[in-house]
Amino acid sequence: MERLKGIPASQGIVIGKAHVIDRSSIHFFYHYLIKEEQVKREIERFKDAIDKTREQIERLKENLPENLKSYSYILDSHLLILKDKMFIDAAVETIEKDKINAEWALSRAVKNIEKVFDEIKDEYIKERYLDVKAVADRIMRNLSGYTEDDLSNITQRVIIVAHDLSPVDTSEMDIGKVMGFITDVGGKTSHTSIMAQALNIPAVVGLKVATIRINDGDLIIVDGYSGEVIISPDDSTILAYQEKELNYKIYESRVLKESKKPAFTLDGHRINVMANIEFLEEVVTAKDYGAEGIGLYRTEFHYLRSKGLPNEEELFEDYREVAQLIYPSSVVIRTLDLGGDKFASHISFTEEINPALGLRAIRLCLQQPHIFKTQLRAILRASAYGNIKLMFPMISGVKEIMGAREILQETSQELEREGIEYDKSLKVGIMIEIPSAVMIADILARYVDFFSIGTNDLIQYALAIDRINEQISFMYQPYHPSLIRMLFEVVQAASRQGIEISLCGEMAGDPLCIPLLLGLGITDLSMNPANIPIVKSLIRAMSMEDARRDLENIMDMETAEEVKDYLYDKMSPLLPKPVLERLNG
Amino acid sequence: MKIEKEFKIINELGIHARVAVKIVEIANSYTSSLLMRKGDREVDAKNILSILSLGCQKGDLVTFKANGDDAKQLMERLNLFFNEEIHRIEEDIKKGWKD
Repeated sequence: MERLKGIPASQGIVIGKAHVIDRSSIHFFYHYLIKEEQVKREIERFKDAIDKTREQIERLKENLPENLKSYSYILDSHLLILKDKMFIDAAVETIEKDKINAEWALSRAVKNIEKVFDEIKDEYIKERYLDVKAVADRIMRNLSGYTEDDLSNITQRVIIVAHDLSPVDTSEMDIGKVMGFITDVGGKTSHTSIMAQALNIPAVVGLKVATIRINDGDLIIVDGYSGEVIISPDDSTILAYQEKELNYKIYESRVLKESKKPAFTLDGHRINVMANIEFLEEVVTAKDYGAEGIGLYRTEFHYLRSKGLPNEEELFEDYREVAQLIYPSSVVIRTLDLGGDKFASHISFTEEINPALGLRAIRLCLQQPHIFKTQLRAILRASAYGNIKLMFPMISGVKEIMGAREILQETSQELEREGIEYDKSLKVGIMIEIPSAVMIADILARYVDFFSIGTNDLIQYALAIDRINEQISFMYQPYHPSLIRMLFEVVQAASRQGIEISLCGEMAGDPLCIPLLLGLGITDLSMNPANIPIVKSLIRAMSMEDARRDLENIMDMETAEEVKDYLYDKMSPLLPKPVLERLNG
Repeated sequence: MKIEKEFKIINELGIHARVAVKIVEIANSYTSSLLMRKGDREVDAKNILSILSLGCQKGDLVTFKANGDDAKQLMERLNLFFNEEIHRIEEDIKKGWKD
């Protein structure tokens, strides 16, 4: 029995036989010189292999399963690579000129292309070299007469073990026979992970040595929660994992079943659990998960498409429908939170070195009032049809609120003159996501009806951490004492002024953060809909009084690690193992 | 007829595989020759790896040179592609990533 640790990519546990895809053996081929009279035959042989490769790719394209159809462009690019002058013509020339065999010429052509692509700065385009490699491997297999097609030959249900898997590889498989995927390379956002999630198949990636340690036919356990892979497990281990999977499934269905009901703490405090959504279609899913309102409706989607700016009518229809679907609960519509770079084709814009600190969100809206007004008109009109609240993002000071309110008032007056109905007592709030807004929260509270704390950006701005940057993303810490103090200040400011406060960052859906947020007195939480069932189940197992004591303890702590450990100890008895493993991973 | 036109790459991911596939497809459906230049490098735009090897990122300027009987039509087609269709491709990709 051996254990490997990788990155959990798609949840679930499977136990089954390994099917190792080993392509490395193909790379051992002979290099040899050929005689002048053999040149013609060698080129023929090479061209035959190309033809065969083309036929194979075309067949793959025709048989692509429905859920992978969007990847067919990869096969198109492979077909074009087969016709490429830099590649194929170059290899043919080398056979002719240097009198070497086709395999040698092909590998030289690949090396030359690698050199050219190595100089490209853009990582994404640079990676396209891998497509050349994939095509070359296939030609090589055909040249060597290696006919066995690993992937389409799977006859029994297996777990695929590979160095890496491309969407093309997956398309060759009979997905019904694949129980799970594990790979040596890759991360949470690599192709394998995304595909496994889409196909709902457990997967672990980034195992580094899976293809070396695992032999074809080995019995393995893949734990898509913890990222563990166990090779040749003993009976008791198998039993333990079967039980783990079963328990989690039971847990999941139990919390989901209870999720439709409101959540009260043990000492009787009602906590409002709402959903963050981006598309109209998500309202229904959010309700299914038990959302009691939409705490954040992101409105960027309509502005990201190519047709030009959205018009008032389509925005109105969309907002009205969301409001009606969620009624009698409320929906908080956040006005445009985009940088100019995102829709450069519609407005003039200069390139920014630091877009996170640039012309975006409310700043952009105040500079381009016509764009802002169209959206405000649509929101105001929709407010007549349900329970809408309006929220401005990226507020750093009073002036922006006044600017936004002024345009809002102009817009309301316009509607008034035109005799169009809207909610005259529409609540107006702001996102608290910039440290300056935290420091003057007491002042800002005088100008609005509610605050919503956007912790994702607040953490990023407060700790000066770009969470996308892998080298420092570990420092992106929701448990940082500075952040907890900020939240405390904002809540105090809001309650002194008597305005509503909610929290809509990822923190709201983090099981460990629940006692912290309750302790702070934040009773409106908005999160990714899928997190709602588990958060509600935790709320029901806690008391407000306990949470306040926890907060007192936490306020004395000095590091994020200390806070996290404390919360982990507190919450772990309430959480199933798979969730704890994810929190630790 | 010879026509030259400069385009600014405005989509997020630059000229990636899916875009390059499309450019080659367009180039091959006309009889005119088509060259593509970025900086001091000029390549055959009917050749996918050559296009990718330019490593065009967002914000880069590229120049296309069409030469032949249908050069004008080819350039109009490219114009349509860079101003409109390229966004749709990007949206598709983003959707794919989200799913």
